Amino acid sequence: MRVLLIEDHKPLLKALRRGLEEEGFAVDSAEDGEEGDYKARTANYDVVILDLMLPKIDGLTLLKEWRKSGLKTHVLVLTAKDTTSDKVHGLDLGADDYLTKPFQLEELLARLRALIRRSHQIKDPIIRISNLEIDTAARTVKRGGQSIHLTPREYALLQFLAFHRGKVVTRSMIWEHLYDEYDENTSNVVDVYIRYLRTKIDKGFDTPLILTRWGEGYMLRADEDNGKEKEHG
Amino acid sequence: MTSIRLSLIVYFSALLLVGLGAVCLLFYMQTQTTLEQKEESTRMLYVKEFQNRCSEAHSQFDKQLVQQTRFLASRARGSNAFFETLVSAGSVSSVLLPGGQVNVPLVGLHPQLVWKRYNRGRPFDLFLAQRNAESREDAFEVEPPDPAHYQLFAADGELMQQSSLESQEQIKLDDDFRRAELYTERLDMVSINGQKFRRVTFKGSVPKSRLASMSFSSRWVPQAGFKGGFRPRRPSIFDAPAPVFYLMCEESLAPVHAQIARFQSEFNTNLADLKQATQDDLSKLNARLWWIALATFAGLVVGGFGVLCLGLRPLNRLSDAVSRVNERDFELHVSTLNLPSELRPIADRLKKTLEQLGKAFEREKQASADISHELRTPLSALLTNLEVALRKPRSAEQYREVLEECRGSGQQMYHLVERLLSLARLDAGAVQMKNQILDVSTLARQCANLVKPIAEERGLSLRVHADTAVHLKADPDKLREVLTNLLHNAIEYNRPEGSIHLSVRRENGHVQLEVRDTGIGISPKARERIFERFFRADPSRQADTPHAGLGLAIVKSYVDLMGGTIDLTSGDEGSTFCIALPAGDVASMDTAKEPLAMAFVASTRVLQ
Repeated sequence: MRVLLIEDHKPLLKALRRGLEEEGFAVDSAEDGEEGDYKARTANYDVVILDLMLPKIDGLTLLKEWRKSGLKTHVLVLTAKDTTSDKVHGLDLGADDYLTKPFQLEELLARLRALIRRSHQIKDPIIRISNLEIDTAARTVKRGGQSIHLTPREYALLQFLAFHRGKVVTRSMIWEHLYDEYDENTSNVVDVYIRYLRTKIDKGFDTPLILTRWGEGYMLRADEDNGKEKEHG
Repeated sequence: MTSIRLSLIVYFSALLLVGLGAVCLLFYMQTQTTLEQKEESTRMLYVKEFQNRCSEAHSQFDKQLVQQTRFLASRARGSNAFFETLVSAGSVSSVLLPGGQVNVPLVGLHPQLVWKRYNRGRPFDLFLAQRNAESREDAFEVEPPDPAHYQLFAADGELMQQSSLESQEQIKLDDDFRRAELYTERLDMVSINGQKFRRVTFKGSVPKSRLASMSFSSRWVPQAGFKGGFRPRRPSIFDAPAPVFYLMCEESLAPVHAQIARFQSEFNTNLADLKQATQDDLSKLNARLWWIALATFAGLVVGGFGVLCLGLRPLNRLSDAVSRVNERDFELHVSTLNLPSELRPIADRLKKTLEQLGKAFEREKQASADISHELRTPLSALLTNLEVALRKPRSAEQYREVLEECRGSGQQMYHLVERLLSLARLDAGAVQMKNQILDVSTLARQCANLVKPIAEERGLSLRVHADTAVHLKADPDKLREVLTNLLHNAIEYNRPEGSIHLSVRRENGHVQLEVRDTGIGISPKARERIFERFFRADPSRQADTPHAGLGLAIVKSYVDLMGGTIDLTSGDEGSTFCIALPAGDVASMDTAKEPLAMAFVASTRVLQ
């Protein structure tokens, strides 16, 4: 999941970035309004974490402009302004969530997950595909009752596939959503992670869940497709 | 008295009471006087009437008595009491009267009345009928009416006839009356046995005509020495004066007095009635006045209350408007134009005060919001760093990195807290200036050296132009803080590769400290508010600066405390803060007469 973090307080930016990255988020950052605006408009983010008091262009102006120009990315406002009127104002301008500083990292992460689920129209935090269970809240994966340990990156990839289950996701889509601006784009990074994931998810089970569509990309089998297609990557 | 309304109504009522009381009293007194006058005049009338009636009664009484007396007198004149009846047998005879010889030619045989003559030694001086026992009752022929008693006297005072007067005193003739004219009446008042009587004394005479039917012949009487010749004519009975009699009638005044007493009692009754009527009128008036006063008082109090309420309505409006003022709305919702002129200055002043209060409140609110904001940002950085670090085991290097970050955040908060405390101390007046004589040039250089590394980091050049040994009596710590703050500011808002000039010089008994930067400048609008707390020329903050818009506020406060001034000039090429501090008498200590401008290049430009 890729987030854009717009925050002008460098120490906080740095700490948040580290925290989010360690949770498997791909994090892009911007330190002022202009940069944030540019990045939010050019890349496809799952969530934008937006501070309100920013140099050059302030957060509320950015939000207003984005909503006016039809940008649908979820925005979580993260600010030290804590009065009710500030919150109401922020939410009315099109923010999807509002969190005041200082905050608990856990809460921020939970809100981010909720926002991402919402963007994929999923209410149940547990996604079940065949005998695979992905708990998006606890970030745990089980198959056939057995829990599988995944690295944050692997988990993020599986979750992304699960959000788009039954649909083909291209390598570039995966790239865009799972890697930040500083990751080096080597063509086989996605393939390598798919292989890791297959080893952990499908190995030892009769029905492979991760399918390869040659020339297109990858797909996580949906429930109704169960057993119909048997293709091996 | 807590309520204006109540106190006014009480004062008004008191005034009303006094006024009404005075009016009623005056009216009452006036009416009383009029009534008393009327009573007096009526009383006079009664008195007059009473007197009239009394005199009327008296005169009536007198008139009656006189009439009776006259009547009696007329009867007396016609009675035979004064005469003697003689019977002649038609022969001429002479009668020897006691007084002398008189030849009385008697004609006829019928009885004739003959005047009795009292001989008093004067011939024919008076004839009076001799009272005799037979004729006594017949003197008036009929029993005379009314008078209580009467007496009839002959001219010589002989009592001829009287009413039964066993117990009565005899009425005496006095000599005065004897000399009185004939047919005169005299009215007297006499007191007999303590009883008052009215007496009428009448002097009358028996008419001579009564003698008409009588014929007298007088016998000649030879006089001594008479020698013959013509005998002189003898005086006739007609020549004699008519016999005089006196009639005295007395009548008791008791009936008159009874009548007068009745009149008196009537008069008294009338008077009492009159008095009573006046008293009644007065008491009626009194009661009426009380009622009128009471009704007027009640009406006026009620009306006055209404008028007061009406009059106090603007005050109520103002008070309502004031009570609607709260911490969210500092505006006084009342139009001063609609208020009476007495309240207008109050409302205007209130409006102004509230406006100032509102602004102050807004500033305070903004300040606390700013403080919380400024504290929250480094605090959240600190917490996030710690939380992230604690999520999983890390290498020593990583922990070290996190701790460094945390220290940075902590320091930022520390600076902010320090500044807030400085401002709080300044507000409380708890800042003490520890003044001492110091060399400002040296101090300026020290400050420049302190911020030099930061300037270098940003690629800025810092130059110091200072006169040698500029002495000043000031608090070195505060002055240092002022200069460092200004220098930090100059670094923070400078453009890349800009420069900062710090100059110290003495001028007209002042020490001038100048910090000039080559930044973006400050807009005129921002210049007015630049020394306000939490004010930033650029509303978006530089997150890593520790000033939080408090630096210049502190600088201004300190400079004010030192008795100096701070000015700001700003343009496109940068801003200049110029501080002028009064040098006082320490200026003479400076040995250097000529300002020796020593350019001190504090820093070289360091490029990133």
